[in-house]
Amino acid sequence: MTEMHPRSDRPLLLQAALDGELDVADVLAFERALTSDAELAAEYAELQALRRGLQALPKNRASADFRARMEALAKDEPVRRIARAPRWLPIGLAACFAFIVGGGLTSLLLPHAPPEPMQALVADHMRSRISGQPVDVASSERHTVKPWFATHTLLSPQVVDLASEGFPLIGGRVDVIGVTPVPTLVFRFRKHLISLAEVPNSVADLRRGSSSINGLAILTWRQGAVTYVAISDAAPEELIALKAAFEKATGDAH
Amino acid sequence: MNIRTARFAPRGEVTKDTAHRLFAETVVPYLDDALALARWLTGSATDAEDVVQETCLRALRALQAGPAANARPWVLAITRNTAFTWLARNRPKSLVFAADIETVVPASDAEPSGAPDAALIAAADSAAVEAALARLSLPFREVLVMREINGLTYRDIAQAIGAPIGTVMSRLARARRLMLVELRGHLE
Repeated sequence: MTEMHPRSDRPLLLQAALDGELDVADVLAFERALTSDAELAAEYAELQALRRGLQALPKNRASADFRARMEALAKDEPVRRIARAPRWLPIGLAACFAFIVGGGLTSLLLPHAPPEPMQALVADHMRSRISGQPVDVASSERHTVKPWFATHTLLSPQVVDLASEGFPLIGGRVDVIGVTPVPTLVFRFRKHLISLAEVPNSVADLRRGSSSINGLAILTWRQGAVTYVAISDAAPEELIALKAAFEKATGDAH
Repeated sequence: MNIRTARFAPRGEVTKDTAHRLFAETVVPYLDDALALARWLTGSATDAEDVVQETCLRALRALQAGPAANARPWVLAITRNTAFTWLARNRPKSLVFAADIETVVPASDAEPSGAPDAALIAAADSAAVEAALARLSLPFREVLVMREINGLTYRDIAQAIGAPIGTVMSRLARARRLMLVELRGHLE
């Protein structure tokens, strides 16, 4: 066993054995190794002791009252609230399209913007950072990112890599405002990540300019029928630099 | 402008009764699991109830688009996302971001010193174990809780946190090493 696996694999092998994730042949080899390798056996015993300690922690169980309240949610939650979404999506899309073609005459038909779209984007940015997966599609290659967006959001955003300006593209992610998925590009700036969401003006009427939510710098600007929202823990000036680089790059692309 | 593709998934409308039945089958059996995970992510049983209630509402909405495959990791995925949103809103200072982990916790710090000592670890009381677990940063804590307290397989944890199995394994190994470092330091 220990001969079969290089030493650097040993920690992962121990974990897999402990967690019952080895196949039968590997389990047999591991059990043999345990009898002949005292160091391995000691590490294994220590991990088992840790497991027992964790599993002995007080359990959280739903009280009867809480369980009853949750079961009641299914009865109380008005199903219409969601069933309505597919009906307004086409209207929103049609309105969005008409907005471009008709020069905004249809703005009266636009659906209500959900509350606090900016908060939703900030929450998505923070969640992406906490979870360790800042992007849904990881690529610095715009020809990979763009088609991915085309299949995951209603609009295919402008995708540019700004590596030459100090903002390498690391991928893309779908954020959600209300029930509308919006494409978000993720750039790196030194140790910071910058989320750049592209929000159709029909989805949310966002205030332009610099602001700050939860200590994060935010810069919002319009380009045609979309509003760009840049969110980062980097300094506000860096977002201004990103905006300049982005506008230059997309200007060149036209 | 860039609207080139207009695609949205056709959604069958699910009746209220069907959604209720799906909720009862898919979510209700895993309320204990969701509460346990939320308790360890938020640090309090009361906050966990808030998170799980929001989780149920989100799950209910999602179920109106149809049933969910592999219910338990699906419910726990919604739970952890809801918990992270809750933490971002209510405890932004307590968060260590996964992207920062490599700098916050250098690999060398995660190496327990001295020889393995199962008896020492076995002697740790619940309070010490709980404190050590609470001190783990979120990406490590969530995989350890899903594995040891929820009892999920690697595959289900990978589904719940949306990461490859390799990431699950290395985070678990790291989480356990950090626990051992804490507990040895506490007990010695």
